[in-house]
Amino acid sequence: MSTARSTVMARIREALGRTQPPSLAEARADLARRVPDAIPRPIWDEPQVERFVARLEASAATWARVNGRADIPGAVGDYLQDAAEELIGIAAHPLLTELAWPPAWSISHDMENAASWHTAIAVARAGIAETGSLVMGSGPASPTTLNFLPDRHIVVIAADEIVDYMEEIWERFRADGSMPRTINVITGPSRTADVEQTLQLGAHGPRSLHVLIVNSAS
Amino acid sequence: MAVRQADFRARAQAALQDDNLRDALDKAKGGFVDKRASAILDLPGFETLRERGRQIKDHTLAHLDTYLETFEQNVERNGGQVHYAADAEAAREAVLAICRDASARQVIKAKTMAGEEVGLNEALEHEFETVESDLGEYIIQLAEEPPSHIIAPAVHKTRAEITALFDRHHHQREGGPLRETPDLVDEARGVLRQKFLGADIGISGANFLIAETGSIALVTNEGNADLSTSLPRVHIAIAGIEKLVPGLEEASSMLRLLARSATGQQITAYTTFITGARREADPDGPEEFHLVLLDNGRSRMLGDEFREMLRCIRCGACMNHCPVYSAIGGHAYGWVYPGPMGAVLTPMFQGLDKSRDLPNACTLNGRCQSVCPVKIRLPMLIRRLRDHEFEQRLTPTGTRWALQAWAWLARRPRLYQLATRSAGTVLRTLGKGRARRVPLAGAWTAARDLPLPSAGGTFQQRWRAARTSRGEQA
Amino acid sequence: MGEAATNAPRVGLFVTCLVDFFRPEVGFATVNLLESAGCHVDVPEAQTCCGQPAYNSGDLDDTRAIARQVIETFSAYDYVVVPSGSCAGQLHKYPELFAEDDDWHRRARDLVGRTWELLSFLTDVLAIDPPETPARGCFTYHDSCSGLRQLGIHGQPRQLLAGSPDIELREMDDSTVCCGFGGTFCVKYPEISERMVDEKIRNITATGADTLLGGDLGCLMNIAGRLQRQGKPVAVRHAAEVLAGQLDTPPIGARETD
Repeated sequence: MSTARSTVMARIREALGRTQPPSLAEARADLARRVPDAIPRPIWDEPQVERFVARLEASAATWARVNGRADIPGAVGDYLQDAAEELIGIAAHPLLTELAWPPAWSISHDMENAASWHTAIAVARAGIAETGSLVMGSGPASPTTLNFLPDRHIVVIAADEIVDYMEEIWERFRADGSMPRTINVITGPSRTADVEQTLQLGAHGPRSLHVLIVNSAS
Repeated sequence: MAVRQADFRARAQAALQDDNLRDALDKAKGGFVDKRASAILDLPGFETLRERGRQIKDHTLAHLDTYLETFEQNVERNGGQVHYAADAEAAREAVLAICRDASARQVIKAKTMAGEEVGLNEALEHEFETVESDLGEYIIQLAEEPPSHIIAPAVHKTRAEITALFDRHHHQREGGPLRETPDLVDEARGVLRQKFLGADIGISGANFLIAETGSIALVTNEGNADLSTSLPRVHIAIAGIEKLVPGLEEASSMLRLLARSATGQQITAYTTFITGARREADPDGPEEFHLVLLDNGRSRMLGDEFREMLRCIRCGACMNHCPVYSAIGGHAYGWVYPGPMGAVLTPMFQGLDKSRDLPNACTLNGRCQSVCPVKIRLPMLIRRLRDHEFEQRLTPTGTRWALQAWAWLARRPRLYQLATRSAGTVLRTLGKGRARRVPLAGAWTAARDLPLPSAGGTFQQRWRAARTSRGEQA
Repeated sequence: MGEAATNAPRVGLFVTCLVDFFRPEVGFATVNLLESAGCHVDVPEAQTCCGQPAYNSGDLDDTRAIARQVIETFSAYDYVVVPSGSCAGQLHKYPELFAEDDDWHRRARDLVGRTWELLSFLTDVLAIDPPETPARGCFTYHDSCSGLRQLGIHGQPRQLLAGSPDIELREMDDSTVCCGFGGTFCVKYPEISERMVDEKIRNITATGADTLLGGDLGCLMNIAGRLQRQGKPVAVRHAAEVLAGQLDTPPIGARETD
């Protein structure tokens, strides 16, 4: 392996005509010279949360606003309708585990059972208004497979966690000091166009995505 | 995967006569082109973004050694392992060794063009139950065909063909009823879900490698890459060394270009950043993360005039906008990379002598360059390959001879004009009345009439005559 | 044809080998348009071909030899005007042939600075009023690739045609997609070329136009030849012929009655 490494590195340096690489700082300085500060990105006029929900809809997700976290179980019940008939997996996130879920529901926090859950509920680390995306950072409170195994995916996001652009979430992860193993930027339910270029939802991941936006005041 | 160079012409010919393929290509072409066009309207600064994309990639390539070292350190810091592979065989061996070490039985794969490039499936299938999970890749795996498009691998398959494949492989029957798209997708979902849950190893590609964090970025719409990289106990990613970008912000810019250029989306349904192996407290995720970094000719391109081809982010826009690709589809190109990007990459990776037709089967119309998100001058590179063919005497002797005879004449204006005058007369006589069949121009007249030269001689001849008489009058 | 004033721009016409050989009428239409716009037009006798067949086949030595000849032949003119985007585009590529030869590189760049495709020259340099021609009917326009993508020619022909009150211009779908000519491509890969030209013809006939116009004889001969073979009654002409009001010759590829 180390020979392969030195072979490839030697070829690269030969191609670039040098024996030692420039320092990372030198490289970053060159990048700053080449790439202007202003990043070309979509712009919009409407308030951030309106852009966010408009893009959610464009991605075939559905959404509802709730006034406070206490209203989350009720909003989930409204969406699922027959919640008592389902196996519901809930991420072990403090925002969710501390809620008063209806006792009639079959609720699990144990990822061992995740493959059998119909519906999963998770909490987003952030939302991106540009694209209507949800940012899920993996960890004990947010298992990554929970975002993909169930048929229905319900994601809770605090309105004040919505940012304009993807770049802003990088600042948050940098502030954490490290990246989680997996960051899922999720925009709508799973889809495929591999059969005759016809769009079909629910390829391998969730068939539907429902977003509960919790108002900031709470 | 070995290049099926044998006969581009024969494959192109077969493709032109395949009505199913024609329908599929017609459907795909309009879709991709229109969707890209409307996705760009949403971002008025798209041209500036293309320039930014070009700069980011050029910069990264010029500092590839620096960023590779940084990337490698960051992968390892997060519990991952980096394996360098100088060529395709080394890449296959690296992947096989990891699978063997893990005592694996089942492998689930997300789409990886680098994997296709090194012929990973053939190598894996000898030892492990290997299943493709991208629906398009799964379909062509059942059909035992290579992909015909880099982002829509089964674009050439009709619903009826897919129904027949599923009947054969899922139900061991022939001639079941034609099924609707939702039913086919659901059926594949059910079959593949069990494969995801049973796999020991998940293999993916990477759309970008982020030096700053040691992360890989993966984009899909199905979610198959996410299941492949989070359920099995070992995740192996394979990627070319040119996939690097310096940092997270640069990745964000590149992702805006990629989604719009590839599928006309603002962002794909799933854009995923994976950094190393699962953390101690994580409830899920693979225990091991391996990254195979593939050279396979890339470092040579870095040092020659084809460096800009390493900017390629594999979006497929060039082939979606290529009228030759639209006519013949991807299989005619004979290897994993079709269309304009393939016309450059296949000779680069497989040798020009094995892909002589590819740089020539192009009208140099430039539409590919006009849509390339990183502004690769594809027609220039394709034409440069013709220079190499000419230098290496790979150009067919007849063509070479005809060209040089023409050029010899073109450098002798008097003789040239004498020749064109008499040729005009001959052609008019031969084709008099009906120019349907003119000898020596069979390739032209097979499908077209040959417009005859106008009566009265060449322009030069008539111009001189008119000027002389005018001069005499003055 | 009136004599231009003594301070008139001196234009060297690069007639192109296809126009010279197959369609001299395009050359005369070009001269007519240039002279009407007040230019003094010369046709240097030492011209042959722009070198594109050699260049696109990788024969760089011959390309350079031809390029030097073109540079010499047209060194004395204020402008070099070409009734073809493809050939004008080829002249624009000359500097890159002489990357290692300062003198010829300089001369090639000088040529580029003076070289224009006809329709672009009339609008972008001379800024002529669109001519009012007697042409009438329903027209559609094919944008040839080199002119379009290398020289930025798209609006100019449309602007010029707008001066004729009896021309109705109907845009076809994919007017900017290659017709399958591609120089030697069409004889090296005739079946692929045929599929491409059929696609183009589908778009042309869908407009219901009776005449197809374009600015490059190569593409026009390809499309005309295929239309003729299919027996489709669409006339094909170079835009210069229509703009010069020169409509008495049969369209490109039309069978002559004798």
